Amino acid sequence: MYFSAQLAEGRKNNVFNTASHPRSLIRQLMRISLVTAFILSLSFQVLFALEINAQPVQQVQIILGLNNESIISAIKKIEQKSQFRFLYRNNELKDLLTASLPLKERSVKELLDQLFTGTGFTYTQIDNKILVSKLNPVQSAANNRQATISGTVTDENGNPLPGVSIRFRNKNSIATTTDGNGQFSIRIPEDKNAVMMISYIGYVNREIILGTQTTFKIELKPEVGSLNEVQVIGYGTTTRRTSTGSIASITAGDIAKQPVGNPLAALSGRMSGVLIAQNNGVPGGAVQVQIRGQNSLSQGGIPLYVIDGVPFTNFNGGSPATDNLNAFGTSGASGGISPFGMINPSDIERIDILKDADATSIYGSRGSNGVVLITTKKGQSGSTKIGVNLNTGFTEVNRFIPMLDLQQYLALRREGFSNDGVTPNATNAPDLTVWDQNNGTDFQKMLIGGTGHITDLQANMSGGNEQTRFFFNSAYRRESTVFPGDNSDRRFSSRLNLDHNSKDRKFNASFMVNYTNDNTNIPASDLSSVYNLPPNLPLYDAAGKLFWATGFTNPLATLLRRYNGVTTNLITNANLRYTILPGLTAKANFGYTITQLDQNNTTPASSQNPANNPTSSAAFTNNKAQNWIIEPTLDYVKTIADGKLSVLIGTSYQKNTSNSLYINGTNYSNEALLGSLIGAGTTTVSYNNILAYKYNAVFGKVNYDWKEKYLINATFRRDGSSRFGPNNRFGNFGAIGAGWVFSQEDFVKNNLAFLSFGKLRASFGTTGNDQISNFLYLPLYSSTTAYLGNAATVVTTIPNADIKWETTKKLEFAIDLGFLKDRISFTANYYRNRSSDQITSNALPTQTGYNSYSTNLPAKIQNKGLELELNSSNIMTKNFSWKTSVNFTFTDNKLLEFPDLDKSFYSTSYVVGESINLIRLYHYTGVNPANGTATFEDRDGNGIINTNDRYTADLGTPFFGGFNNTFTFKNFELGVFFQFNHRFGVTQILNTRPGALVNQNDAWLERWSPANTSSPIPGATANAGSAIYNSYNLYTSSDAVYGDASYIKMRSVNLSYNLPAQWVKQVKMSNCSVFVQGQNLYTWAKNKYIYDTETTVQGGPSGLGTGTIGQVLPPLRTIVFGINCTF
Amino acid sequence: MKKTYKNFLLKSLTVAVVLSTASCKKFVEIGAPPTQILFEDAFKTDASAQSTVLGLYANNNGAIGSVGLYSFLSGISADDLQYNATDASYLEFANNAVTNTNSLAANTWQFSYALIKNANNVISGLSSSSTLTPALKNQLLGEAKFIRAFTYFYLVNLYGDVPLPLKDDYAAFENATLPRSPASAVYTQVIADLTEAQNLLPTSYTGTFRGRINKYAACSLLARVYLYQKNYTAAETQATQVIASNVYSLPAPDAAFLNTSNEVIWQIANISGVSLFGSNYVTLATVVPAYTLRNETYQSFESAADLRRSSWTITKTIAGKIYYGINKYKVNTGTGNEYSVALRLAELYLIRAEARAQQGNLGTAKVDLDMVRTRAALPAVSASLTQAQMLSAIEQERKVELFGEWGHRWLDLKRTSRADAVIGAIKPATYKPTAVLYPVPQSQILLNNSLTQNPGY
Repeated sequence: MYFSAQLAEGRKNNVFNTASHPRSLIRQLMRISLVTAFILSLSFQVLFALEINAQPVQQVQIILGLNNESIISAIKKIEQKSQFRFLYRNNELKDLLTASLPLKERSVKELLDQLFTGTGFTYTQIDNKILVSKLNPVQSAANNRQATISGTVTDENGNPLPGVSIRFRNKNSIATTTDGNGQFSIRIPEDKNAVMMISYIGYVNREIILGTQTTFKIELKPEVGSLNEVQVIGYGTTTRRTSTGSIASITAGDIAKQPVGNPLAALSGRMSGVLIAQNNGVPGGAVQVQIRGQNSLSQGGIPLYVIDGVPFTNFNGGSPATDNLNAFGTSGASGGISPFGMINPSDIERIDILKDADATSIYGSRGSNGVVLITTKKGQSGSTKIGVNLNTGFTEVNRFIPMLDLQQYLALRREGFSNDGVTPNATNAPDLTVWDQNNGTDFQKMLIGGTGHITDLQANMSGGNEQTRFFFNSAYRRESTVFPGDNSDRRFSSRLNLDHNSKDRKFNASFMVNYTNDNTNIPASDLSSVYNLPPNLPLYDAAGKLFWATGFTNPLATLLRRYNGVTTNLITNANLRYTILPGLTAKANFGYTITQLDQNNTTPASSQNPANNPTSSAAFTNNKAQNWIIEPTLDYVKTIADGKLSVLIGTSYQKNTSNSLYINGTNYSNEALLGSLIGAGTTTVSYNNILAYKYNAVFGKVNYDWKEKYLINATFRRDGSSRFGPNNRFGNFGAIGAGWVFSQEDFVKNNLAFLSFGKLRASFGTTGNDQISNFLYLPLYSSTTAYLGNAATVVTTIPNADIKWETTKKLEFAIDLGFLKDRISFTANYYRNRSSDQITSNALPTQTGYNSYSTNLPAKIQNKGLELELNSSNIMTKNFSWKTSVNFTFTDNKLLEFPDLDKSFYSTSYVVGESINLIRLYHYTGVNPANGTATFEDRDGNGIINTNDRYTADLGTPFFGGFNNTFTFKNFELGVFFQFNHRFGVTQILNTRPGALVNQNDAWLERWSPANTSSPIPGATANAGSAIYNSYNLYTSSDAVYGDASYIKMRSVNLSYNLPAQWVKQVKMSNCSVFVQGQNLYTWAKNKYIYDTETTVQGGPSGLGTGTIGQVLPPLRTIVFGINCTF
Repeated sequence: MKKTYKNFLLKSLTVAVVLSTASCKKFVEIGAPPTQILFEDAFKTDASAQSTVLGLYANNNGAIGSVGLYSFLSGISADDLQYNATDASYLEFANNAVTNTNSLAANTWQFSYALIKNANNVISGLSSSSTLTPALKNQLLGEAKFIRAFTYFYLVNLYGDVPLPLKDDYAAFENATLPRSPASAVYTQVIADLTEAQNLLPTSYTGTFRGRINKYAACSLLARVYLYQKNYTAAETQATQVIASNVYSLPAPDAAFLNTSNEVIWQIANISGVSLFGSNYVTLATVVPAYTLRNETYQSFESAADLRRSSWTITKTIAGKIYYGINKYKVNTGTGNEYSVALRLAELYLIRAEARAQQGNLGTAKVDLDMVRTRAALPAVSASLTQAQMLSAIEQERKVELFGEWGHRWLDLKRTSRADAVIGAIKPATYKPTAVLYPVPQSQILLNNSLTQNPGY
C-alpha cells in the first residue's frame, strides 16, 4: 500500500519510455510494472471515488508539536488527528527527521510545508489522500514546442568526423548524420530529458541527455580493438590503422573485469607474445613479464615499464636480475615484492605493450625486452562524475595435491624399512614407533586450506571544463591470505590527474600524482612447502607446548616468524606542451618517483627449538629507490603532398638512485621488542648498498603517412648510460618500419568487397638491453671482513672498460586484416629477434687472480615466433551480442652461436642449436622388477650411468595463448576467459625419497613392492645406502620428474548486470552495475602433483614458467561480488 | 600568460639542447658507489691504504685459505699427515697421484694468484701514491711485498716453474698470457721482495698480538728461502737477526701456539671463529679428525719423554683404530685464544742449525739444535756427530717439531731430494718421482696456451 502511489506516479515514465527501449529485459520488467501500475491505479480510482468529501489541507487545523522526530512518526501523528491518509514509500522517508515545532494549532498545509521543505520530497493532496513523492524539478509533461539542436562531432584529436549518425531515444523518426565538417543540425520537440544517441563505426557510441543545452561539441572515442583505437607508443600515439609496429593493448575495461591486485596479473594470456608468470599466490608477490622470449643468457629480461611517459624502472643492477623492490635482502612468504603492487589497476586507462623494433627502438638501449606503456585515467570535460566501486569476496587454493593419508603413508614407510632390511626404531622412525598411529593431520588443509578475504573500495571523481579537467581516485584494498592467523596485505592509494590548457589550446599542462601505501603482514615463509610433512607429526607435546623433532620445523612455529613490509610509493609527473606554430609543438616531461620499502622479519625464540637455547632475532631491511627524468621533445607535423609528415626530436635525462640497508638485530631480551632495533642485544649491518645510475639520450622519429595507404616510420636513438664502460658509453640504435594498407588500393576495393581492411607491415632495427650490473668497468675496492679489529678492503672485480649493452636485432613481418566491415579482424606477426653482445662471465686464466671477467661475448640467441590474433563479433543483435577473441603464440628459442663454448664456463650448460633453457636429463627406463630400483638408460653402453648418458630437453613454453568470449544479453554481460600454456617442465617435486620421513603424493601408491613387481614406479626406501635409495640419486634429474606441464586455466569469468537507466536515474546515478568476478577459477592440467606450473621462483630451473623446485602457494581462486556506480 | 608559457618552454628546451650537446658525456659519468672505493682513491689516505693491506691478511682466511692449501695438501703428500676422510681430490694428494684436473690443485693455484693479484694491486697503488705518511707507506709496502713473496715461495715449491705476474689489474689481460718463469727467476723475485720488505718494515709489531708482519718476519722467511737456495751464510745471517733480536723465546710446548706466545714471529689472526688449524685438527674425542699424524712420524719421536709427543699429539682409539691427533692447537669452538701461526722461533733455530752444519760449524749447529730439544725436554745431541749425522738429526728434529705446519716436511723432503726414498718407501704403489711437483691445472693450460705441464702429468 505504501508504495503504490509512487508506482502510480512512475507509470507515466514507464509508458513514455518503454515503447522502444532497446533493452528488452528492462522492457519485460517494465511491462510487469506497467500492468501492476495499471491495476493499482484502477483500485485508486475506486478508493478515490469513495472519498469525495475531503477538505483541502490548508483548511484543516490540528494541534500538534514535533520534537525532532522522524517524518514517518509525524505523518502518523497527523493521520491520528485528521482524516488525511498518507501514501509514501517507507524506505524513502525512514531516515528523514523533522525540525522541532512547538505545540500549537496549525493548518495541515503549514505542517506539511514545514515537514517537507528542503527534503527533496513534495506532497500532493488527492481527496483525503496525501501522496508523498520525490521532488522532480524537470516536468516531463509533453511539450509541443520545437527546439533546434546542433553541434560538431570530432574524434579524440579534434578531427571532424563526417557521417556520424545522430538519433534520439524513443524518437525513431528523428535522425540525421554529420556533414563533411562533422557538423549537424536537427529540430526535435522540446524535451529536456531527450537522449541524443551518437554512433559511428569504429567509435564508442555516446548518449547525451539534452537538458537545456542546444549546441554540442561531441568527442567520440575509438572503440577498443577497432582500427581507429588510439594506441600509445613511445613519445606519441598511433592507431591500429596507421601503425607500422607491433603493439598489443589492453584497456581499462578488461582490467576492471579481473579482481587482481597487481595490474600485470591482468595481462596474463591476453596478449600474444607476452608470457606472464605469477611467482606465487601470496598477496603482493611478484609477477614476471617476458615479451617475445628470453633474449639474454644471464642478464635482465625485464621489459621497460613506462607510466605516463616516465620510466618505472626498479632494476637495480642486481644479479639475478629482478625488478623486485626487495631484490637485496629480506622477504616474506610473498617472496619478491613487485613494484606493480603499488599501482592500482583501477587507475589504469590502458596498457600497450611494444614488441617489435619499430615500436621499441625509440627506447634504444632499454628496448630489447619490450616496452610496457601504462597510461592512467584522465578527467573528461563535462559534468562532474563520481564513481564508486565496492567489491568483496574470497580467495582459496583451487587445487590441492592428493597426498597419502596416514595409513598409506605408514605403509610406505614400513615398506621402505622392509625393502632396506632395516628395523625401524625411535631414532630412525619416530613416526612408526613413537608418534600417533591413528590420527594424522591434513597439513595442506591446515596450512593453506583457509579462505582469504578481499575487500576493495574505490571512489573516484572526475570532470572539468574545456580548460581544466581532473581525475581523482582513492582506493583501499585489503587481501588476507589462506594461511592460518591474521595475515593481510592492505593498500591505500590515491591518484590525482589534472590537466589544463589555455583558452586557445596552445598550451597544455598535465600533472599526475600517485601515492600508495601498502602494508603487508604475513608469515615469513610460504607454508605451502610443508605440504609433505609426515601426517602424524605431532604439533604439540604432552605439556601442550610446540613439539620439536629432529629435522623438522614445527609449522606452527613457522607461523610465528613474521614478515612486515611497508611500501610507500610516490609518483609525480608534469607534462607541459606548447604549440609554437601550427604543427610545431614543444613538450617537456618531468617525472619523479620515490619508492620506499621498510621490512621487518622476526624470528622469535618461541619459534625455535628450545633445545638449542635459541634467542630472538629480527632483520630490518630498508630500500629506497628514487628516479627522476627530464625529457624535452619537439614535435612537427606537416602535410606534404597527400601525406602527413611527423617529425619528433627529443632528449632525455634520467637518474636513478637506490639505497638499501640491512641490519640484523640478535639476542633480543624480549620478543615483544622484535619490531625495533633498540631492543636488540647485538646489531650487525649485514648489507648496505648504495647505487646510482645515470642515463642520457637523444632521439628522433620521422613518420610519413601517404593517404593512410603507404606508411613509413624511422626512429633513431643515441643512448648513454653510466652502466656502460668508458669505451662504449654511447650507443646508436635505430629502426625502420613500413606499412602498406593494400585495402586502400582500388584493385582491392573493387574486387574484394569482403575485405574491409588489409595491411602488410615490416620492420627491422636494433635495440639494447642495459639490465647489467653497475660499475663493471670500475676497479673497485670493497669492504671485507675486518682484520684484527680494523677495517679491511679488497679489490673486487676486474674492470672492463669496454662493457656495454646487449644488442638485439629485431625483424618482423606482419599482416593485419579486417573482414565484413571489420567485424572480424585478424593479425599475424612473425618475428625474429637475434640478441648478441651477451654479457657473460668469460673464463680468464686464474694466474691473473680472477677466474672470470664480465664481457660482451659474441654469443647469439635467436627468439623467433608467430603470433596470431583473431577478434570477431560473432553475433550483434539488438539484445544479444557475442564477441570472441583468440590469441596464439608460438615461440622458439635457440642459441645460434657461442664462440669457444667448450672453453667457457657454460660448456656444460648450453648447446649451440638448442634452447638456452636447456636441461640435461637421464632417461628413466622403469623399475628393475627384481629389487625395485630405478633404472636409467645407459646411452653409451659403457655399463656405468654417468653424465654422458643424459639427453637434452628444452624447458619452457613453445606455445601459449588465450581465448576470450564476451556475451551481452540486454543488461547482462558475461565474459569467460581461458588461458592455455603448452609447457615442458617439472611434473613431480621429489625432495626426498619416498619412504623417508616425509609424506608423498598418491602417485606412490602404485610403487614397486615385493608384491607388485611390475610397477613403473620405483620402490620405497628409508635408509641411506640401500640399493633402492642409491637408485634414486639420478631420479630427480631424469625424465621421470620432467614432462608435459601444460595447462588450461579458466583465468577469469565475470558476470555483470547494468541496472536499468530508469532505476539508477531515480537515485541520481548515471550508471550502476552489480557484478560477480572470478579469477583463477579452475585449472585443467596433466600434472596434478604441482599446485600450479605457472609459478616460477628464483632458484628453480631457468626460464620463465619452467617450474619450481619447491611447492609454492599457487595463484588463488578469487571470487568477488561488487557494485560499481557512477553519479 | 601565453608569453610566459612560451618563454618557459623555449628556455627549458634551449637549456636541454645545450645540455645534451655540451655535457652528455659528463652527465652519464658516475664515480664509485659510496660503498666502494675506486682503485686510485684507495691509496690516498693512510687509513684507506692500510685497509687494503689488511685485506691481504684477511684473504689468507676463508674456507681453507692459505693455511689449508699449503699445510694440509703438502702435509698429506708427505709422511706428515694422514688423511682420514674420503674426498677423492684429497685422496689423490694422499696417494701422490694428483691428476691434472684435481680441483684442489686448481684451487691452490687460483688462491695463490688471487693473493698475488691483490698484493700486486696494493704494491702498485702504494708505490704511485704520494699522499701517504712515509713511514706508514714503507711499512704497508713491506707487508704487501712480504705477502707476495710468501705466496710465490709456496707456488714455486709446489709447482716448480710458475708464471710471475707482478703488475696490477690494469695489466690483467697481459698477465693472462704469461708463460711459466723458471723457478730461479721466481726465487730471485722472492728474495728481492723480502730484502726490500726487510728494509721497509719496522722491528715492532703493529696492533695487538703478532698478527701483522714486521721486519723479523721478513728476515725469517728470507732465512728459509736462503736455506732452500743453499745460500747458507745468508740463511745464517738472517736467522741470527731474528734470534739475536731477543724479541722471541721458546715457551713450554703447551703454550707455544697461544696467540700470546712469545715464540710467534707472525700469525694469521682469525677473521671469525677459531684458527684454521684448530678447526681442522681438533675434534671431539669420539670423532676422527680429517687429518692426523701419520703413524711413521708418530713412531719416530725419540722417546715418550719428548714433550712434543705428549703435548702436541693426542692418541684416540675410535672404532678399534688408533689415531694420532694433532694437538698443537686445542680449540675448535668459540673464538679461542689461538691464531694460525705462520712463523715461529723454533724454525729459525733449526734453519740456523742446518745452515751452520752445512758450513761445517757443527758446534754452533748443535747449540741451536739443542735449544729446540731442550724445550721438548730432550737431552742434548751427542757432541760427536758428523756433519751428515748432524744434518740427519736436524731433519729428524724438523719433522717432529714442525709437523702439521705449512707443509714443512713435504718441502724439506723435496729440497733435500729425499722424497723418492722416504715417500716412495711408504706409498710404493702410487708414488712416482714426478709427484714432487703438483700438476699445473689442465684448465689453465687450456685457457693460457703458453703454459706447459710438469713432467709426469
